[in-house]
Order: sequence, then C-alpha cells, then structure tokens
Amino acid sequence: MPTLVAPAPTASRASSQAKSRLKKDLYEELKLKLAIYIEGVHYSDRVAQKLIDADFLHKYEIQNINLNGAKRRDTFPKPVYLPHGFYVNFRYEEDSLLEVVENDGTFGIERRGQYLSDVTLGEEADWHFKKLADGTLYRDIARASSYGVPDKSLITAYSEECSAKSNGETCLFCCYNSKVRREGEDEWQQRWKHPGQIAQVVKEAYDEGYSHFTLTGGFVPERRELDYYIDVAEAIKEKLGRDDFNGTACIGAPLDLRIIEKYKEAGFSTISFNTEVWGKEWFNVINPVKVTACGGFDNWIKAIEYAVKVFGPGKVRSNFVVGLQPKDITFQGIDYLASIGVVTVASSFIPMIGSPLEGHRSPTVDWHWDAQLKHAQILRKYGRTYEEIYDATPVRTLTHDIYQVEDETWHSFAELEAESQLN
Amino acid sequence: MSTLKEKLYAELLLKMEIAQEGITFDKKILEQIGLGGKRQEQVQCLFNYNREADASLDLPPFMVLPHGLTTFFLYDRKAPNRLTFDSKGYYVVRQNGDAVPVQFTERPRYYDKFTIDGTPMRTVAIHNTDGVVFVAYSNECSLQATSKDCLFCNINATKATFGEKQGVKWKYPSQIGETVAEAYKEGNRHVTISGGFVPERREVDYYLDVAEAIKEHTGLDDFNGTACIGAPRDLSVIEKYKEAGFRTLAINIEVWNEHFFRAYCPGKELECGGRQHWINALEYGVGVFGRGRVRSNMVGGLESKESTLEGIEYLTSKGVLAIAPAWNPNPGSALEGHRAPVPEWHVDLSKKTYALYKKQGYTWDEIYDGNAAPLTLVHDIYRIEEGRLPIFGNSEFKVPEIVQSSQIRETVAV
Repeated sequence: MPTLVAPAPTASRASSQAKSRLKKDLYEELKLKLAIYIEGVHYSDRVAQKLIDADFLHKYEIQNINLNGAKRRDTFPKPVYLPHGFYVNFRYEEDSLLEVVENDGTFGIERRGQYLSDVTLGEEADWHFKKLADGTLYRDIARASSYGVPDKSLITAYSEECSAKSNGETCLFCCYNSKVRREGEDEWQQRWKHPGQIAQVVKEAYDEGYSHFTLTGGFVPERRELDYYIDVAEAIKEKLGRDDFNGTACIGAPLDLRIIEKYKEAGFSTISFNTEVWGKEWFNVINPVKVTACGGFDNWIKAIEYAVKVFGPGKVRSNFVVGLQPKDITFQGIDYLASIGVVTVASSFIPMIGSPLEGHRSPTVDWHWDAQLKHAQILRKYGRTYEEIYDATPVRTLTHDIYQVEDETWHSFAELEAESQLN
Repeated sequence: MSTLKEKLYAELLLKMEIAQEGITFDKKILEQIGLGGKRQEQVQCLFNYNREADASLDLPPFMVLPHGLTTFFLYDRKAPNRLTFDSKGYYVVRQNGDAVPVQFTERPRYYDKFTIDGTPMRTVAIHNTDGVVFVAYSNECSLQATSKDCLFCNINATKATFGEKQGVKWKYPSQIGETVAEAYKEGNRHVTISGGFVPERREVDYYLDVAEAIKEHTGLDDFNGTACIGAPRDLSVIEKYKEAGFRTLAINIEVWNEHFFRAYCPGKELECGGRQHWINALEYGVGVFGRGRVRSNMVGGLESKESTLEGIEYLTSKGVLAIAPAWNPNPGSALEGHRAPVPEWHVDLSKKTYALYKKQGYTWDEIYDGNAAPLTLVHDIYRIEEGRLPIFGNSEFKVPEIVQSSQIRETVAV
C-alpha cells in the first residue's frame, strides 16, 4: 500500500496562525473546486482554441446534442489543478458565471470579470493509453478516479447500459442509458468488459501505485451480476498474485441477503449499495428500478445493515445524490447510515445530459458547500477514518479533501512545515 | 430578419431567464422608480419570491419587456442581471452585456385607498396585471403546526418576515368585498380567493361569505371569481362554491407522481384524502363548473418533465386546466437554496402545455378566468399565437432597442 497521508513532522515549527491561514486558503480553494463542479465553466471561442492548442480539449469531447436543444457542453477527461493541488474536471456550461481565461499561456478562472485563481492543465493517467492484446485501450476498460494525490483509485463500469431502460425504470438522475453523440463518433459504443481485461488493467495500474479498485455498472438483465463479480475478483487475484486487492463491489441490494456474503468470500474488501435519496416516497420516484428489482427502500436499507455485519463498520458504502431532495431529509438518511458504520458519500447532483432530469439544475454552491461540510462532520462524528473513506469510495470526493485539511495531512501542511524549518 | 412572432418567442425566453436569474441593483435606483406613487410596489401577501427577504425595501413586482411581455422582478443580490437607469429609461444589464430596456407597471388607484375599517386595500388584494386581482384571505398555513407544510411553500416564512411590517393580516369578507369593488371600478375583471390551510378546514363558510360580500359591493352576481381550495373530503361541498357565485374553481395538485405528492405535500395527503382523492375532486369539479372552468397548478420543475406532462395531458383531457408555472425555490421553504430547471425547460413545457390546451379546445377566456395571474408562459403563448399584445396591428408601437451596456450612460452607478 502506498502512503495515504503526508507524514506528520515530529515537532511542528509552523505557527498556529500560519496553519489557520493555510486552512482558510485551502477551504476557499475547495469551495472554488465545488463551484467549478456544480456550475461548470464557460469560455470564449478564443480560449477554446487555446485549450485545443494545449492538447486539453479535443474535438471528440465537444458534445452538441441534448434533449432541450442544441447546446454545446464540452467534457474534459483530463484533470485541472488548483494552486494548492486540488483537482477538478471542467465541464462546459453556457450559462455558467465562471469563465476560463488565458493570458500568455496561463489559464485561470474568473467570475464576472473578477480573477479568482490560476489553474494548471493536467494529464490523464499514462496507463489509459496502453492497449490490451486484443487492441482495446485501457481507458475503455477502467479510468483513474483520483488525481494529484498519492492514494490513487481506478473504477470500472463493466457495462455501459442498464437494463432498467427496457422497463422505463431508469433512475431519474442517471444518464447511463443516454446516447449522446459526440463529434467524431458515428454512434455510441456499448462495450462490455471481460474479467480478463479488467484484471490486466488493474494489474498495470497497481504496478504504477494505484491501490483501490471499484467495480460497478448498470443493472444486468435477470440480475446475473453475482457470477460476473466473482469472476472478476478471481481474475484480479490471479493476476495480482494475492487475495486482497482492496476492491469495492458496487451492487444493487439482493432479495436474498445471504448473497452479500459471497462478495466477501470472493475477495472484495468493501461493498456498496447506493441509496441515492432518503425516504420511501423519494426512493420510489427517483430509483424505480431499485424498487422493482431490489425489493424497494426497506430491503435496500436491510441489505446495508446486513452488509455491515458481514463486512464490518467502515467497509460498506452508500452514495447519496445530494440536491435531489431537501437537505434535512437527505441528512436524516446520511446520519442514520453513518451511525451504523456506513461510509456515506455525498455526491452533488449534476443534472446529466440524457438523464430524465436533463434541464433541471442543482442547488446553489452555498447550499452544497454547507452540505459537504456537514457530511464530513457526520462521518467524523461516527468515527470514520480517511483510510476507510478511501477504501470504500470510487472517486476522490470533497470529503477526502476536507478530512485531509482538518487532519493537516494535505501536502500543503508539510510544505508549510518545511518552510518553517528553514526559517 | 426574424418575424414578429420569432421575436416574441425570443422575448418569452428572455422573460423566463430574467425571472429566474433575478435582479440586483443599487438601492438608490429604487427611489427613482416612484414605487408606491406612480408605479406599483410588491406586497407580500402570500409568497415572497425574492431571494433576499428584506422587508425594508420597496420593490417593483413586474417589469415590461420591449415587445410587451411582462416578467417578474425578483431581488437576488448575486443575480447576473443589474437594474440601471439612463436618461432614456430603465435597463436590465445582463451578463453578456446586453442592456434590455424595461418599464414598470402603473400602480392601480385602489392601492391608495382604505376600507371602511381603515385597512389599506393594497394589503387586501394585490394587482396581478391585465385586470386581475388576487386575495390571500389568510397569510398563514395551519399545516405548520404539524410540520406538514408543502416543501416548496414559504407562506409562513413570508408572514414572519413581512406580515407585520407590511400590515398584511387576515382579511374579513367585507374588506374583500369593498376592495374588489374598488378594483373593478378601475377596470379589473377577475379575482382569485386563496390562502393557506385554515384550522379545521372551515374554508367553505368563509368563501361563501366572501362571495356574498363581493356580490353586494360590486353589484355583480357573476363577479368572475376563482375559489382556490384544498380538495374537500365531501366532494358535494364543491357545489356550494358554484352556487355562491364563483365562476371557476382551483384545486392545486402541485405534482403528478403519487409518491412525490406524498413527499412534497404531506399536509394535502393528510388533510385532503391523498392524491387520488385530489384527482377525484378535480374531476368532480369539472362536473359542477364545466370543462375549462377548473384549474390545477403544478409546480413546474419539481419533478421530471415527462411526469408533469403526463399529469397535464391526463387532467386537460378531463376538462381541467392543468398548468405548471415555473417553480421559484422560495426563501424560507424547505427547498430554499435549490434551483429550478433551466429557462428552456420551462418554455418547452409551456409550448407542450399550449399544444395540449389547443387539442382540448381551451380558449383564452378560459385560461384568463381560471388563473390567479395572467403571467404564465402559457398565457403569453396564447397572446403570441392569437395576436393579443398591443404590438399587433399597431404601427405606432415603438419597440425600444436592446443595446450594449457600453452604449448607455448610467446615472446610478453600482
């Protein structure tokens, strides 16, 4: 396992005032990171060309079609780094108040003419561009899901469609079944990933220092996911030559809860059931397939409770799409699940192109910022550690960042300490 | 060159954008407008839509756009739109630098008057443009007592912030009768009676008394009134509203999906027998009042467009004027801080609603009579499609030009 946190100096020489200032700066930067995520960014044609010239935006990533008309919404698989090293991905939104600007090769962010911050354009993981023996690009099998930190994760969506579509039961926030054509693509490619392919990519990534893997995907017809997950786990163990591969199985709640044990036996160290919203009525509307295929809200919560017994506290994760319902209701659920040992994830709602809620909007940045701070406090209150959050979560979230700021393990604190030692 | 109709549809989208994004301003500009004098001011009788709930400010309720469509004025300190002024008039300067000329609506004369007991008429009935007045008999909702408020509603928060400061109180039937009569004298021709839930659902007797008072003071048996009520448990009660003289009835279902109905409207579920009973009441209402004489609002943007349209299609086919004006996440509601869907979403929904209305043959008069404010996008689409704006057939009508902000000489700096 790589080092998850920056080593703490034995005797701190940085003043508490300097640490407070740094913490304040880091929180401001995290709020900007959140704002970029929630609001997206816009930019002029001139800056778009600069992004293309910098090999950061490709024609392939310019999306032109959505359900509400022909709006341009570019996507960016490459990360952008803020000055203290936090990463975020750009997403083009025509109406965003945040604008990407460029001056003499330096990119930055403005809000209504006020310069907020420099940004640095990053690169995708090197292994994304390797090819399997069958010619498949690694990035079409799995993606890096954390950047700029030593603790690196990757994620595989084993399928790129969800059988909920056939019954008109797609979760309302989900765009899994959308077919948004990108420039340069004749049609949407549906790719199923085979266990051997996944194992090969995980092996390469782990050899490069990655240390957590999540397996997820849409619902499979007839819920035949268990056999597949076991095959993937077996393939990874064989390829890595070890039984513990720090993997998370993200699944729908099974009707027979005893099945959960089989994921543990297969070698997954954590498991995930994403509740998304709290309360039966909300669950029924937002997650129709989880009602018909998984026994509904009550069974979903029972599955989580059962899984905590099987995997242990801090080893079961549940995601919430924060912003779909009043904050109080969402946090009733987060508090309950966290209280029984679940690693909750507070994903800010982004209305995706092609989802049934396309055209809707997420709550304000201030609303989400409050939610993120509250969420980190709740996990802390119930004793969850950074390592548990890392091991159970598919992507790096603001909760990771807030934990590291509060624990003073973000690398900026080590840099501050080093400066103080020199002085 | 785009046609007039294309320009009006572009203004329809602009109307939605400005209403949704809100307006910021230098407070000095408010003094220039003449609010409470020649120009109408906001009175918070039921729902405060401003994102900044500041009872110390007099704000305009509406702004008229260049081609004649009327949009809402919502104060939001962080809005991308800024109200400004130069020697030619008022402009809304947008994020892209466009300066949109706007005008403010005239203050109705009855806003200066008082009822016999000294109550300012402006607090009894607010003026919603185009001959329509609106009475919220009660500016509180008893569902608060059991924490069953509808999640999008801010009646009780509005009362807490504005009630005392603006002198908005419970209205007695005679106050309403006097005020409506005075408003009708100056050309108004439709009134809606609405309000929060009353303890023990004693609303029917009250509505009958109000109807009697309006008839007495206006001298009209048919005063073109809408009774906006919660679905009564005993549906035969609906007949009493008709007998009392209301021309139209409104029973607002708010959301179509049955699970969302329980989630968003827990009080309506509890007090009114649930969503199916609500639908039964609407259909019963059509039997009593007639097709096109019963209205049901949905809050446009709380649920998916598909679900909302399913409800509108079903209800319009049953004779109900179902409509989904854009949700404004109000301060003080459980959904404060949320945001409604993008403007295009609402315009598209309204065009589809209009198509469903035309399919059922609903007329302008019916949607005018059935709604509490003739300001929805569906009203505007009727105006555009049927030539119901002053610009049509009027060669004298001058359309003030949208210019770049650099072309105006602002006299109020921000």
